[in-house]
Amino acid sequence: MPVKKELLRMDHVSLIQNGDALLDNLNFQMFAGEIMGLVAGHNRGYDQLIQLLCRNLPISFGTVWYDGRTVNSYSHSDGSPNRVCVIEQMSHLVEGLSVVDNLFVLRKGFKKYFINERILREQAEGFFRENSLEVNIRKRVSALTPLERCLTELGKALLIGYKLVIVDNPGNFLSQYELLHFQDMLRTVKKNGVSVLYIGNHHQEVFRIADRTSLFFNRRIIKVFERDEMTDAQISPYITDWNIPGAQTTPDQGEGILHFHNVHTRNLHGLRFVLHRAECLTILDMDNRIAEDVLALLTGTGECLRGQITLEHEPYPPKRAMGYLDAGIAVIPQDCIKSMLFLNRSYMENLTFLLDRKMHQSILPGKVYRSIRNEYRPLVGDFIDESLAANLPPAEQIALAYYRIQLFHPRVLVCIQPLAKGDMYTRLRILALLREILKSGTAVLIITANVSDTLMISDRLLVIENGVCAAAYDKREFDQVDW
Amino acid sequence: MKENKQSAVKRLLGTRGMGAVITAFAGLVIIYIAFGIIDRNVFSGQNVMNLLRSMSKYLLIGVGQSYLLITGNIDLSIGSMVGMSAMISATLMTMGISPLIAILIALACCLCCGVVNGILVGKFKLPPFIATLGTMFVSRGVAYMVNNNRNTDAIATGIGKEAGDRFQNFFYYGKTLGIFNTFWIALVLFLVFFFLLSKTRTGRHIYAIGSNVDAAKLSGVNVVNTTIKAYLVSSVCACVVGLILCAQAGMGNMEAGNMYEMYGVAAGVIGGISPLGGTGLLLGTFAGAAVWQTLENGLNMIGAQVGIQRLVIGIIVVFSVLLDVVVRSGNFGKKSN
Repeated sequence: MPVKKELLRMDHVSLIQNGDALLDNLNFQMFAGEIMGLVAGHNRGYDQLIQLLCRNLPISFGTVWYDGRTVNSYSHSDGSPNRVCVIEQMSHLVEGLSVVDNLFVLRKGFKKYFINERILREQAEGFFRENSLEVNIRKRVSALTPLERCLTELGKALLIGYKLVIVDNPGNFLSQYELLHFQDMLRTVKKNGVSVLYIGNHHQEVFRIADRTSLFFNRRIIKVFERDEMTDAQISPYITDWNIPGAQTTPDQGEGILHFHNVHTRNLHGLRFVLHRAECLTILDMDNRIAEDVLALLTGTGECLRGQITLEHEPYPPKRAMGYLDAGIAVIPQDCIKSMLFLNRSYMENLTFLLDRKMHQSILPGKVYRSIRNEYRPLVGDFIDESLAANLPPAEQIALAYYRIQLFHPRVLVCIQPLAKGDMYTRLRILALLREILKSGTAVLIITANVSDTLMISDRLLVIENGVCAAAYDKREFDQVDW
Repeated sequence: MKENKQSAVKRLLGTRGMGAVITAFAGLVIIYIAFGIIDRNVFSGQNVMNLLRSMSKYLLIGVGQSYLLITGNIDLSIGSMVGMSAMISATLMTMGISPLIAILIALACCLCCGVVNGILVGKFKLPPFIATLGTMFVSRGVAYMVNNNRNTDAIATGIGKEAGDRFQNFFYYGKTLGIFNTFWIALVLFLVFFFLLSKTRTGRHIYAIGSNVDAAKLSGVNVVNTTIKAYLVSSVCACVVGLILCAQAGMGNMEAGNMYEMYGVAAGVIGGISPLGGTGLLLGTFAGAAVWQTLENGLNMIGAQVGIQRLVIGIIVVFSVLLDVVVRSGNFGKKSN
């Protein structure tokens, strides 16, 4: 058996900021040429861990070795960056420039003043061919598909000679097919001696690709799963609380609230489904393309090329959809903190933002606020008095977005990738909140590219491929299918 | 009961932006007392009355500009609209048209500018700096053209001395309860717009747009309409200030309102309105306008040159914005990386 070469070691690392311990006696090790999975049970300290991998920021205790030398310790931190590449939802490329410019011109050490595009293009083409990276390098970055963007970032990392690539939840922004392709590329890269830290919210996804998987929980790595240990049975003792509070609701078996009748758009090619009251329908979008179209149709920014949508058996044209909240449809987009909250307003202002619309009053009486405050205080505690939503922990911010919708009580709620962000406990809370919303009779439509945990509250699942329904499953069939 | 009172005070002090308002008021008191010590006339009743009257213009312009700053926008045309309002109303009155009709026509013209600004920024997504720069030139152009590129004659020549005096007294020289009408007009408008911003749905939408425009859209806020409303408030304020300047001079001046757009920004940011949008209280604008006018008045009374006045005011504005940026970024007292 060949001796493994150690690439990274974090030894008894603790990080205390403002008296708050964010990392506590953390030990973490990676070898050269391995894919290490990382699953976060609890996100506390998780961001700081990733930051420490990328940059040698001051730590309170412990030592960090990277690529054979001590780069950070409690006694000396120089703040220098490590040669690490992060591939995440946010692009690290310059959108307005071409792939070639991003690869060569925007690179430390590129000294040429006059740029010969032809030579650079030839070099780039050769490099991409050699590494089996299928990207049209003549495109501007803004025109790349998500997969091409990831491959370009990966190519750039290889070109620069990075030895560690951190991949943060690719399942959130790549389609199922793209994800498989990207994972194949990561395996190829691994063979060339580059290590990959594969971070995933869903352990099932991580187990598929990782050689080993670390479970980050409560500010430290509490368990490293070896290849043969990466099973649901082995991880289950660490996530035993994975029970959603509240009983499962029974969907109304009537004629349904929302109907899609053979709907065609740019990415939908004859989608049909019916959503019933108090029902949770999950749409697994294999191409990760339809969410925008469905949202545009339901919020009035797009229209059907063919087919029809009806809400409560009334046609739902773009004109009606423009006032979608008044029609009883609410939307929770993927990054609900960024796209739903007013972070420099108070908790109560955020919570009651849709209330005037609900009550049809421009000026809300103070007693209404007081009553809501009293109603929600037992659920959220003193956070309700927070004068700045930005000060809330991320889990509370996410919960606030859901509470706002719960207070609004829509007829239909559309959630885009609700479990894409957050640790296991945040996801559990989201599922519990969705169950509460379902209990009040709201129909919930979940559109996701990664189905794993959403099935726990779903009543039906539709699998959409190339804009049409490729398969449909009832709740009792969920466990019969290999995801 | 006592507990209720305490919690109300605590809540008031805990209101976001109240810190900046209190700081601005504290600054106002310090500046006023400092000038008063140097020159006792600063404390005289007559000076206080003049101070209140003079600050009214800045208060109104500040209110209009604050509305836009809160939405994350700006209105560079507000000063030119002041000039346009003054010139249109004065020209009409010199032609013998009733002051009321002249006021309504001036108001309609200003509202048109406000709507155009709102549509350009809200609907066509033009950068507010560029869009309102354009309307700034247009409005000033109208102010010049309305009386063939010259200032108007005295308004009394058209509507008669009695009506002219009535107009001037109503907007500038008259007093009610011992205080100049100008201040009452500004105070009433301030209270109306304060209520609109802090207690109504429109107000919340204005804050929402400045805070997170995407979230606002997703929450069903009509961004275009709300932006137009904010620009309308600004144009109403500009129109009233134009009428005040017209009443003050008794004639129309083509250069009236020059640089007022910047005075408005200054009044807002000194009072804690964030130029980045989403935060600030209109009460702060009140304090900001008072600080501005007290500085100007005090520096005048102690005989400081205009250059010094501008320099001091400029430093205070930069300091206020810097404070806002530092507080927002949370970097106060931290070493930058």
